[in-house]
Amino acid sequence: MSHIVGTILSLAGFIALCLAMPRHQRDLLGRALSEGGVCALRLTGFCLLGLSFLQATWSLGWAYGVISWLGYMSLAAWILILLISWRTQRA
Amino acid sequence: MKAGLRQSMAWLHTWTELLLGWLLFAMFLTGTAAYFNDEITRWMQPEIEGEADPIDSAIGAAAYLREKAPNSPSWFITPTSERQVVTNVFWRPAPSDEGGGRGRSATLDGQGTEVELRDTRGGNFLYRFHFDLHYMPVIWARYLVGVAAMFMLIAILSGVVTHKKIFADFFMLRFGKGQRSWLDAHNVTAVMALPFHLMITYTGLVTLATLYMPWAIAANYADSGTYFEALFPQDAMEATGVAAPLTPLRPVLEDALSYWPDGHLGTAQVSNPGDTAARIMVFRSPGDTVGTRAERLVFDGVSGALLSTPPARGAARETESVMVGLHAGRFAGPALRWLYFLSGVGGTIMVGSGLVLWTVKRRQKLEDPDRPHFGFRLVERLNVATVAGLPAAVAGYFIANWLLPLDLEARAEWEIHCLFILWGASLVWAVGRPVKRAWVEVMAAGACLYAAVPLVNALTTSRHLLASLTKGDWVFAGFDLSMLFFAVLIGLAARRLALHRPRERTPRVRGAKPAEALS
Repeated sequence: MSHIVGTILSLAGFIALCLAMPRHQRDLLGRALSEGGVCALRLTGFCLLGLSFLQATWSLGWAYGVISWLGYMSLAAWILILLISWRTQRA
Repeated sequence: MKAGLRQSMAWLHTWTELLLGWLLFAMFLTGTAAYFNDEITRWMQPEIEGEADPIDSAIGAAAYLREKAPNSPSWFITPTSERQVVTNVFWRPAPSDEGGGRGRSATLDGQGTEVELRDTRGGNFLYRFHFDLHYMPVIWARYLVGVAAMFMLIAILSGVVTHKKIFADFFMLRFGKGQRSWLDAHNVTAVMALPFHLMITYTGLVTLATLYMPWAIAANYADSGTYFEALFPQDAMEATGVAAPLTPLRPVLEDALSYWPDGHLGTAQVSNPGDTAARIMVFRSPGDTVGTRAERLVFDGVSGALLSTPPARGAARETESVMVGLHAGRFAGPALRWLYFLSGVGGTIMVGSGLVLWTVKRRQKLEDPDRPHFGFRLVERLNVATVAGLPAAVAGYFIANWLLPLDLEARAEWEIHCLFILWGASLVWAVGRPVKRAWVEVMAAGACLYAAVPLVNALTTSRHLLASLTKGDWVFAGFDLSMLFFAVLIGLAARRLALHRPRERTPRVRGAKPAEALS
């Protein structure tokens, strides 16, 4: 269960970071975000990744937590990348 | 413009990776499969199933050994566990036994009865191939693998400098764009699991550090034997020759388990069974902690009293233990194990796409693309045989396990020969066919082989996918489903490649546009 929560938090973090990038704003939103929006998204993204880290170390302990967290981030990034490339392919 | 850091790094990255890329690909592939070492072995020995209590299985094994090897100086019992349904026993024969010195081993079921299983190396072959290779002396293989790992470390570090857009293109994977797509695949698989790749390469070197850098031992110990004795003390005593019955195992093992709350039983070693100097060493399961050098309790073999608890370890040993543990991932539960596997698959794709990228980038610059020079053709063909051929050959290994006659002489060895015969065949095919056709055909053959694995399982055993799914046998179901997944994945890649028509290139005017930098 904690694995799922950790992965979702990482995924949410990466989505925010991804939307903070101009190229992906163009592809996914169709418009550019304001400076402030980008800043907020970037902050949210890193905070969510941090939360995912805290959640992992909190529920699995220091040793397993760190390793699992890296795993969540890899998995989440993979999911996001495949989603994006699937969307842009269709578009 | 002088050659800057990035250019020299690009050179380093390109050539270190190419030189040992094929070996690294094989190491990544088999190493990734080895995360499911035990599960693969279980799948390859379908004769036995069910679960058994570890303590019962150890007691059964001791009864078997008492019968079979009463005078042996030491028994080793690896009981059943969450991942393993059989008990493995190993013993050193008594000096008086005929046949002499070589250790014997047997596979028992959970009750201590010897079981007849098909002769196979199972997942263990893939695990050992990962660092021992095959058909060559182990020591050479380990040096070769060590050099490859060293190159890998260089390639990763120089790669981060070279591929300057990895962070700008963090989420980019564009299909069907030729070189751009290969570069995306290479970057994405590299960056997504960058911590994993760094960790796995570095800790991989650490696992064999004493082989690669023996000087620390040479400076401090008389020879490597005394070093390993200091590292892994035996605590066995000389047999007194006075007979005394071995203490019942159950209380000893239960004691050990109560010493490790939430712990699991690892291997138990009994030295001088049936003698007054008997000792029982109980190891904690390596699946319990990240560190792989498991803790050990020593019990008196006659009274059953706990004699010594694990000593505190020095920082260096603890570090080494954790690094090796991180590499092997034995501590990982199912979810984390899959994450390890996924990262390993990513690493395999990273190396494979890097190899392909070498040819893709150079093809456009060839003077005569229809008649490339020898070096180019060599790389191109070896790429087909490795990147498309080796995965197919591994599927062939699984199929050989089901199809080879059970009474074949040296059966386990023949399964392995089958793998290498298929791999060799893919190389012959790659050399004999036009390169694009070769890619498509070898990959299509690979997809068929993977799809055939669950099919052959269904035809030759009663443990087919439907049966294991309804029974909730996740080892078998997971294996069959993974095979189908790889069949689809490789099949789609082959189809994509077959349908791909390269755009007609208008010859580029020299100097009109700066040559695309490696980015």
